[in-house]
Amino acid sequence: MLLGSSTQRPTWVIVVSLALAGSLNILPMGWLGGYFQPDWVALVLIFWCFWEPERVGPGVGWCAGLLLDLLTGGVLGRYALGKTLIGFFANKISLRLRVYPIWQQCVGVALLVALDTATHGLVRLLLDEEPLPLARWLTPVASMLMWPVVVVVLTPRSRQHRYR
Amino acid sequence: MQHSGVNLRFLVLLFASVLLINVDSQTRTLEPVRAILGVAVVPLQELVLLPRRASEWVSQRAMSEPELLSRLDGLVDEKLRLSAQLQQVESLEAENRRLRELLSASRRGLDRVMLAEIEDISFEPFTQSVLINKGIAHHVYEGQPVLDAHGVMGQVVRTSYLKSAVSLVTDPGQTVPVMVERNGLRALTTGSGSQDLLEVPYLDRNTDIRRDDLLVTSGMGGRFPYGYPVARVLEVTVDVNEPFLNITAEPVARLGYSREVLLVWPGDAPRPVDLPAPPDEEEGAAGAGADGAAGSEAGNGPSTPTDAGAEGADAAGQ
Repeated sequence: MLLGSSTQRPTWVIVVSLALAGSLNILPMGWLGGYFQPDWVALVLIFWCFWEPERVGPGVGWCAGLLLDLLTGGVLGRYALGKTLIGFFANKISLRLRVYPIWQQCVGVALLVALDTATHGLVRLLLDEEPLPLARWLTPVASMLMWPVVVVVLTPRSRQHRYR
Repeated sequence: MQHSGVNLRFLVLLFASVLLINVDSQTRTLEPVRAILGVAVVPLQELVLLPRRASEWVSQRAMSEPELLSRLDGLVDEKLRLSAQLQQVESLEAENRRLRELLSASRRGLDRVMLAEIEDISFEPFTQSVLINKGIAHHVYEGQPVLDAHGVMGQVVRTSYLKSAVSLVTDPGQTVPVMVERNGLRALTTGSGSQDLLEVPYLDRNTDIRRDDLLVTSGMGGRFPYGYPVARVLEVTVDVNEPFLNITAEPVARLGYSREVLLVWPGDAPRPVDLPAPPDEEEGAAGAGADGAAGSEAGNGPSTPTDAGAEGADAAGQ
């Protein structure tokens, strides 16, 4: 392995980071008139799927999604579905993506989050709810822009030379 | 080999999610699960509210004395005005009760209310629902009407032990039975999806409804109690190609602004379950909590008369 599996991160780091990301997701920030809403849970999940693919995948994704469902008081399983998909596909592309330069990773992340958004829109359509507001398609873009921040925060200090 | 294991697990999880969505959107089976698991995430929700709480605390402490005094003056004035109005309401209420007794109509009690606060949580960006800080523990039930100081805001759609999700009247899925206050004409309002607009569908072209008419709840359907203002008609347009009028209305409740909301326990008789204990009476709250939760689960009151009828028929047959 190139990076990551030589020193395994403790499980609590993964759990706590996902929980904090959940709080960040429901924090009303109102940046740029409320249009800047990165999906922090998706970002943190993708990070762990890339660098701890043996431990974090669709299963953890499902749990994180369920957490988000509970936090938002919505229909159970709605976020869980999207995050399961993210977990699965992020695992699939993790070997390639983590050796790519960070801007290329950003594109991959945007696609993964867009997949999540599309799933969400589909579920709302099937449940006969109000269709997904178009502004929600800014979420993949916002998430993409925040990807470097997540990488820098979650990468252990000893390995950060790679991003300087 | 390990690969196919991962794929299988992925498929199982996908299936589980779809099943969850299906079951939770159609039935109330998962209500207890949500109630219990919902408590586990409360610390994370409180974490989000922390900055706002802190800033409020600071701004309250930082208020100067003249500012506080002028606010107090305003409040005392308002209290005087309101208690004067209340006296009138009380006498009217007594008179109404006497008249209803004369007519031997069913008595209509006063609605009970409890104050709740909208949590400053953005969950689904750009949707017409909010989270409030009261749940099953406070006898909140699904379908409960929610008001603010000006009018009807919406109704509770999902409850957990300590929080509830409220769908606003402007949500496209929300329909409120209303009547025009001026002439008692019955109608419905449905949400438009935008925060300050409601639609009033299915009214004939020759219906007597005009601009600035106030729409109040009609009490039909038994969910919203009678007589609370919902919306004011903004515009009535006639399209000769359509059988119905095109009516838009503006919600009276200040949906984007109010933070304090009122949960209402209607005082009317037609309710499927026993009323939960009044929220402001603390004694016996623990037992009543279970009752309230069970009551909101049940909702099968209307079946009782038919059962009785069937039994009667059986007895007659024998």
